[in-house]
Parts: sequence; C-alpha cells; structure tokens
Amino acid sequence: MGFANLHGNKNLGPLTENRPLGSTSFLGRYGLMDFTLSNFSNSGIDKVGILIETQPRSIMKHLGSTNVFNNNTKLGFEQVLYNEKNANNPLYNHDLNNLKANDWLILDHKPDVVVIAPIDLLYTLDFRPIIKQHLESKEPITLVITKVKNAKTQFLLADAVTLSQGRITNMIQNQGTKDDLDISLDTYVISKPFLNQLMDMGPKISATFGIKEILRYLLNQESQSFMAHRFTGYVRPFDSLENYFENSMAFLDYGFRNKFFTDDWPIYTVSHNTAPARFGPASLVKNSMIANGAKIFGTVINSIISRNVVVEAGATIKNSIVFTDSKIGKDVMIQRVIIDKYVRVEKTKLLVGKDIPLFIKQGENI
Amino acid sequence: MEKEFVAMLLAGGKGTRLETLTKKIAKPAVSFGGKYRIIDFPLSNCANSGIDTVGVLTQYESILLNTYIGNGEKWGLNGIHSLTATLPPRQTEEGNVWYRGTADAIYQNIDFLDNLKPSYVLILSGDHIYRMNYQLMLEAHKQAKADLTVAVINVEKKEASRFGIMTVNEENLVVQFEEKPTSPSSTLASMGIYIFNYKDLRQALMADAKDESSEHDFGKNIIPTLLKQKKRLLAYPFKGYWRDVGTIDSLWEANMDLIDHNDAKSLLLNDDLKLFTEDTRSLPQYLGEHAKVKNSLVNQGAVIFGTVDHSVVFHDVVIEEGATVNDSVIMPGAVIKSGVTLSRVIVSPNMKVEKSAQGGTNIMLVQP
Repeated sequence: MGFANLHGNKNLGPLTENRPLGSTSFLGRYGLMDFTLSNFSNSGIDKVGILIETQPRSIMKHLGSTNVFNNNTKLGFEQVLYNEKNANNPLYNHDLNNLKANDWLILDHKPDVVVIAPIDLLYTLDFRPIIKQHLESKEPITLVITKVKNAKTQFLLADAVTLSQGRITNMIQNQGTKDDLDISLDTYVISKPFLNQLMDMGPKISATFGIKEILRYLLNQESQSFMAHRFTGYVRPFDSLENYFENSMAFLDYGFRNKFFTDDWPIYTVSHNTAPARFGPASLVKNSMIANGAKIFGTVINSIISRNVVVEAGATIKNSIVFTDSKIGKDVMIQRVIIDKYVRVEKTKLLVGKDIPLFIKQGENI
Repeated sequence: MEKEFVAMLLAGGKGTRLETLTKKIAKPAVSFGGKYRIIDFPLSNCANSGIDTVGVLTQYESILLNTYIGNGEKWGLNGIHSLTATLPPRQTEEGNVWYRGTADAIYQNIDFLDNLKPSYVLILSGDHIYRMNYQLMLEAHKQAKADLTVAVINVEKKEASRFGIMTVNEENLVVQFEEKPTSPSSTLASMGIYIFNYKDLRQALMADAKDESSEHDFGKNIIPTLLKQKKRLLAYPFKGYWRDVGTIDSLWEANMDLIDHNDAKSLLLNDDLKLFTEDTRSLPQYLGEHAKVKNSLVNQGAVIFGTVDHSVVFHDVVIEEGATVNDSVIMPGAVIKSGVTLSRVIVSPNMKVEKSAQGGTNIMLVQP
C-alpha cells in the first residue's frame, strides 16, 4: 500500500493561500500530487491512501470521480484520508495522527509494507527496487535520500542526514551551511509492525510528533540507525514560490522535458475535455507550453499557458505562468508574473515581476 | 429496463472514399478536429441530449471502434441508468448474417430494442460532424404526432443529388422523398437522423426483412414504404453546421472549417453541448524557440519547432525545425521531418513524412 503524504507541505505564498499544494496546477495540465500518485501507479501500487492536512475539497475536485490512477479500478483506490478530529488544531494535525485516525484502511487491507511519500517533490521514482531492497534487508524502515550539491540554496527546509557505514545515524533540518549534503526525501518504506510501533510510541513521546519528528527523535535521542536508499534521479522540492516558478520553467527546455517525461513512466491526471488550442492570425508563440482550450491571438514567449486562457491581440506574455480561465487583454504586457485562475488583466497594461515573480491572485480584475 | 427514448447509432460503414484512412479502422473512428474521432460528435450529442441508452452497430474493422466505445465512459454514458452496447453482427439460432443494410442492422437487433421497451428510437449515423439537441427534435416529433421525424438541412442545389431529398407541405410534413435524385425537386436533404415511434419502426423492419427485393436501407426502402402507407413523416429543419465527411476533400474542408467557419467554431465551444472524447494522456503541448504557429488548431501533446499556418495539428504530432505546414491536417502521432513542406494535404496517423507534398485542387492524402 502507498500513502501520498500531504502533511507538512511548504507554503508557496499566495499560490497556496486557498489551495493545498497537492492540487496546485503545474505545467498547465497537472496537479502537483499527480507525480507521486503516478509514481505509485507505475510502481504497481494500486491501493493508495491520500493523507490530507487541510482543504479536502480542492483535493477531491482534482481527483475527480473517475479513477485515473488505478490499473484495476475495483481492486485499486485513491482513498482520501482526513483527520477530522484534529483538522483545526495545527499542532496535532500531523501525518501520524491522520494514519491513526484512519487505521481502518490498514486494518482492511493488511499490507506487510507501506510506502509513504510526500507530494511536494518533483520526481519520477520507481518504488519497486526500494521495496525489494527493504524486504531483503528485513529492516523495519528504509528512508529514501538523495545527494544534493547545492544545499546552501536548495532543499533548505528539508532534513539532512548523516550516514555511517551506509546507515542513517542522524537527521536535522538543512541549515544551509554546506553545499554537499545527503537530504531525506521524506519517502519511507515501512514494515507494518514498525508502523504500529511508531503510532504507539509517537503520542507517548510527544503528541505533536509526526512521522518525521519521531524518526528524528529515534535517531538523534535514542541512537538508533536506519537503512538508507539513495535515489540518483532528478528531484526538486516545491518549497517556495520561486522554486515553483523555476521548476515549471525548467520544462521549457525540450531536452529536459524529454528526459523527465519518458514513455515508460506516464504521469496521469484528470482530463477536462477541452478543445485543442486555437492560434489566431497574428499569434506569435516561442518556447512555450500551451494547454488545450487556450486561445492565443497575441505573443507568448518562454511561458506556460493553462487551459482556456485567452491572450488577446497585441498582448505580450514573457517568462510567465498563466493559470486556467484567465484572460490577458488587448495590448497588455506581462513579464515574470504568475497569474492565478479566473484573472482578467485588461486595464493594467504593464505587469513586471522581479527576482520573486509577481503574483496576481485568483479572480482579480485589474 | 424501460426507456422512453433510446439511440441506435449506425457505425458499421467502411467509408471507401476515405482511401487508406479507413484501411484498418471504420469511418466513424477516423480522427477529426485535432483531438476527436468522428463518432465523438453523435455520442456527445446523445450525452448532451440526456439520452442514456445507446446501441452502436459496428461491422467493418470493428476492433478499434468497439474498444473505443467500450462502456461509454468517454461520453459519460456509463452511469447508473445508462447503457452503451456495441452491437456487431452475431451468430443466432437462425444462423449468422452480416448486416445487409442500415435497416437490416437495426432489424437484427430488434431483440435488444424489445428488451428496452422504448417509445421512441433515434437512428443516427456515425459519419457526420454536427451538434444537435435530439431532445428538441423529439419534442417536435411528439407535438406533430408524427410516426417518423427526419432531420433535414438545406443544401445547395448542385449538392442535392448526393442526398435523400424531401419535399414538404406547409406543416413540414413530407409529401415526397427521393433518394439521390438526378434532378432534385427541393433542396431539403435528409441528415440520416430519424426518430421513429418504436412500434412503427418494428412493424416496418419486420415487413422489410421479408421483402426479398429490398436493399434493407432506410433511405431507399423504409422511408418510401412508410410514405406509400400514408404515415405522418415530419421534416425537422436543422440550422447549424452539419457535414458528411465522406471524402478526403470534405474531411479536409470540415477540419479547416474549425479554423475559419463561425458555425463550425461553435462545435468546439465549451458550453451546454460539450464535446467529449478520449483522454490520450498526452504531455502538454510544446512550441519551440523558432516555432511559428498561426491561424491553427493545435492539440495537447503536439510539439512544434517549425512553421504552421492554417492547419489542424493533432496530439503527439512532431513538426521539426525547418518543416513548413500550410493548409493541412496532421493526424495523431505523425512526424514531419526537417526540410519538408506540406500544403493542402492530410497526413495519416503515425506517418513519418520525409518528402514534401502538395495537394492541388483536390487534397492529397499522405499515406503509408
């Protein structure tokens, strides 16, 4: 069984003010959690719980009624798990409590091993070899880690681990003091008895401890050590608005796009039945992604345009991301801007972002 | 299960005039409009008209079509009260026979219809591009207390001899019907969309099946017979975009209409008559650094590095840098290599095009 973990997601500023990271739009087509859910699907994990911290509505809407992630639609499922009791209490609304509150799912399906993976990472990861290694080792838990070469600026909010003879002996938050670090990807393969142990032990040590905190405690305070699996593929965190922007723009490099998206590892998502994109007589589009339903009459350069966006004649969009159902009016010029959904930019003729992209909130009419 | 209004969709035809496009797939499964297959149009119309029971009669090269239709999920026709059934010819106690005509196809599935006990049966063809609310047609049928209602459209005089042509009185009741007349007496053409009272349809089909001289065709046999029997035949005028895309030229033209023709553009509107189709799980569409795309429809999954003007580009098409595509339809998965210039062509699905091609007065099909 797999668990997609939406607890402890970072705040991407205004982008995640009214939606969880999991259903935040990416590349005009995906929700961020599609990557983890597809990793499960492609690894043959068809039974998946989705541990939600807040805003279940947005997650349900993204998942839709059809089961696009499962191979067998009867045997497989994406079960949304929400901790109602602690939903309004941030201190206790963590993944371990959510798992406890929804332990019926585990009791029902009796998995020997569960995989818990976050949804705030951009990666394609095959869990099968990790599960295989885990089972052969008979260890209680395997943590997936990766080597980071620029940890002073990246993965700043993630945990750095210390390795001794290939085992993890220590785990603390990346302080940004060193570039070369082994970073925990918050991705765990856990044997069922150890998961039970964690659920029992957690509240006794501290009721505020989630999985990450209790693992830190066991490593740092009780001198335990855990097995590590080193992931060597491409991985980037979604931990700030800038990172979201950079992670998106990376896909405008066609070579990178083709390396990331491979035929044997499809990323599934919910379809919206929108017509092909329409390009007008004077449209000019370069190095960009255009989603279906979009109508392009103006100029789009180095940008990502989502579903049903209208770019009117004379409008110019550069280095920007425009979300679903927004409209960029006549002769408007935008550069390095993230435009949220249902925005109309008509009266303001110039919008320019700096280092941090300018963000226009959902539904604004400017 | 009892249903007031059910649809039977005739999708068995080969579409010979579409050349190799229908070599391995039936005409209703031919790609259209950057994203769709022809059969998406009548099936989406059914869904949008609140029809939840559809029998799809397949025969020619039916594997892809049967798989595509599946349980009707792509059009939402798989709900609790819905039924989508693919009905290819089958072996029965009486033996096994191919569908010998449009009427025979329905006749051979009379047991299917009997089980549903419908009051009205809508007969559709899987070959046409249009949006229509069949529920409004049923209202007209009921109001006129008709035995059969035929949807009609005004065509140009020179085109009229390609169609079944109706002459109507002031109440829109059909007084004369001619199948593909050499000198047509009107320009009201049958669209091949019929609503029958089921008991009348059943009776007519039973009689037709016994008639050895009959070709078992709705246009040639059933409708003329009903007229002779003085049944009430209502002509239901349709205003809007409707095309039979039976030839390479007309298929190309209808694709181009989605770019140029205002009525055709409305086919793709995202409103109460929404078009449904399969989800191809394609990647986001990508346009490269030197791409030039104008006046075109381009689907998700297409990758364009070259120049595209006035064309329809389907999913998973790659147009390399230095390739130029004008006035053309590029079907799914085709690759247009660098240096190739295409104009007035339809490129078959999954073709790798390494040589330039140019259609003349007639559109050229670039085929394997």
